[in-house]
Amino acid sequence: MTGRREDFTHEDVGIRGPRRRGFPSCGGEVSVKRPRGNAASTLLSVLIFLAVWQVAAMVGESRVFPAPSAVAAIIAEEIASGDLPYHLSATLLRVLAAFSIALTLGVAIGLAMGRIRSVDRLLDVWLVVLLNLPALVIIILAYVWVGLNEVAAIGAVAVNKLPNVIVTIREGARAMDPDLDQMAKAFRLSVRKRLFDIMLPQLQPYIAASARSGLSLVWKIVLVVELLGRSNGVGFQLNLFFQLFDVASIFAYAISFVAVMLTIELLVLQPLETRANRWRVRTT
Amino acid sequence: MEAVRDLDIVAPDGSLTALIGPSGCGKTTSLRILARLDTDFEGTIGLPPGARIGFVFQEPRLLPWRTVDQNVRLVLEGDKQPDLKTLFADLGLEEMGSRFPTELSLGLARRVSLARALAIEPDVLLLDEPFTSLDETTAQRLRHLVLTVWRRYRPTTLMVTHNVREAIQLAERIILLAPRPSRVVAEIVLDTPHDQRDEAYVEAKRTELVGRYPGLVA
Repeated sequence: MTGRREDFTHEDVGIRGPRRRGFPSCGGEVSVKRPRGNAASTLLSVLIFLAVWQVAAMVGESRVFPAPSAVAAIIAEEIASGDLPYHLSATLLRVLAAFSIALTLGVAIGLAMGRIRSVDRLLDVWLVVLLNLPALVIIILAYVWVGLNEVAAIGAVAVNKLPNVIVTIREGARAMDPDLDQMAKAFRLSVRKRLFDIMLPQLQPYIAASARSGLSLVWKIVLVVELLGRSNGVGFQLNLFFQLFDVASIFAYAISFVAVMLTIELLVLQPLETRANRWRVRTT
Repeated sequence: MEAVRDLDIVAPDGSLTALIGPSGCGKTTSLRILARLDTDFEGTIGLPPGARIGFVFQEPRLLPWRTVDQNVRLVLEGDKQPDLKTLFADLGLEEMGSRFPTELSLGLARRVSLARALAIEPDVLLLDEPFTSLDETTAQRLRHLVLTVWRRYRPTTLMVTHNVREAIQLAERIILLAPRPSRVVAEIVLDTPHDQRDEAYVEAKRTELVGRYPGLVA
C-alpha cells in the first residue's frame, strides 16, 4: 500500500519526462515536429499514468486508493459547485505573486552579487542563513510577525524561494562575457541597454532554470502556507479533507493543480524558452 | 606592469595611421587607452570633447542573441533610427540584416563589427588587428572594404597590426613600435596614392623597412 502511495507522489516526474518514455514505434514521427510531438507524447504518458492508476486502484482498497473514475466524478462535482475553481485560483494567484516577487528580487540581488564583489561579501552570510532556514520556520515567523494575512503568506513563500534564485543568478552573472562588457564600455552604451541587451540575455538560461525549479517549489510551499494560516486555497482544502479522511478529494485537488501547472509549463514556459533560444537553434 | 612608455602620436584629422610592431609592444593597450577602456595610465589624450570613437575589436564581439541589424543599431544613441542601407551596401551586408551572428562566417562577422563602429559616425575609428585569422582572400577583400569606407566617411583611423604588408597597403603613415618598454622607433610616411600600391610596391617597401629596422619588421 505505502509503495503505491509513493509512486503517486512522484507522479509529476512521470508527466514531465514524456519524451524519454515515448514508444519507439512513433519516435521518428514525433521528433520531426517538435511542438506537436511534445503534445502527443505528453498525452500518451498521461494515458499510461491513468492506466497504471486504474490497475492499482482495482488491487487496492477504494477508500484509501480511489479509482480515476471516482476522482474524476469529484472533480466534476467540485467544478460544478464552484469550489474547485475558487480554491485553485486562490492558490494560483499566490503562486504567481510569490514567484514573480522571488524571481524579480532574486535576479536583481543575484546580478548585483555576481557583478559587485563588495555586495557579494556583504550579503553572502545572509544568503547562507536564508538557504538553510527551514521553510516552516520562515512561514511561522512571517505569520507571527506580520499577522495571519495575505502579505505574510506570499512574503513567506517568496523569501523561501528567493535564495535559490539568487544562487543560480549569481553563478550566471559571474559567467558573463567580459569581452561584451568592454564592447559596451567602448560604445558608451546606456545602463538600460547594458541590462536588457547584454546582461539579461546572458542570464536567460539561468533565469529559465530558476523559473522551472521555482514554480514547482513555490506551489509546494504555498500549500503549507495555506494549511497553516489561510482560509482558502488548495492547501486549506487538503487539510480539511485530511481531517475527513477523504482521500478521493485530496487526489482531486492535487491532480487538478498539477494539471494547471502542467498547462502553464506547456503553454507559457516552453514557448517562452523556445522564443528566447531562437538564435541558438539556427546555429547549424 | 608597464606596457607602454613615451608613446607620443599625433594623428591628423581624417588620416589613416597604422601602428605596427612585434607582439607585446603595447599596440592593443594604446588603443584601449585611447578608447578609455584602460584608465590606469599617465599622460594625456587630446581628443575633441564629445568625440565619438568607433572600436573594431580583434574578435567581432557581436551579441549572438541579436540580429545583425539589431547589433548595429544597439550602439546608436537615443532613439535614432537612421537608414543603414547605404552602410550595409558599402560593406556587402545587404542580405545579412536579419541573420544572427552565429550564422555568419568570421569574415562577415568582422564586417558587421566594422559596420557597428561606423554606424555611430565616428570621429575616430580604432581597428585592433581586424584582419587576423582570416584566409588571405577574405582578408584582402576586407582590407579593400576598410579602405572604401575610410575614404567615404573619413574618420581619423588608427589601425593596430603586426602585418607590415597590410600596413604598407593601407596606411598613410606607419608608426613603428619596439617592445619592452615599448616606444616609438620610427614614423614612416607613405604618400603614394592607394591605387598605385600594387604588390611590387608593397614588396619593395617591405624590403626597405626590413633593411632599415631589422628585428622589428618581418
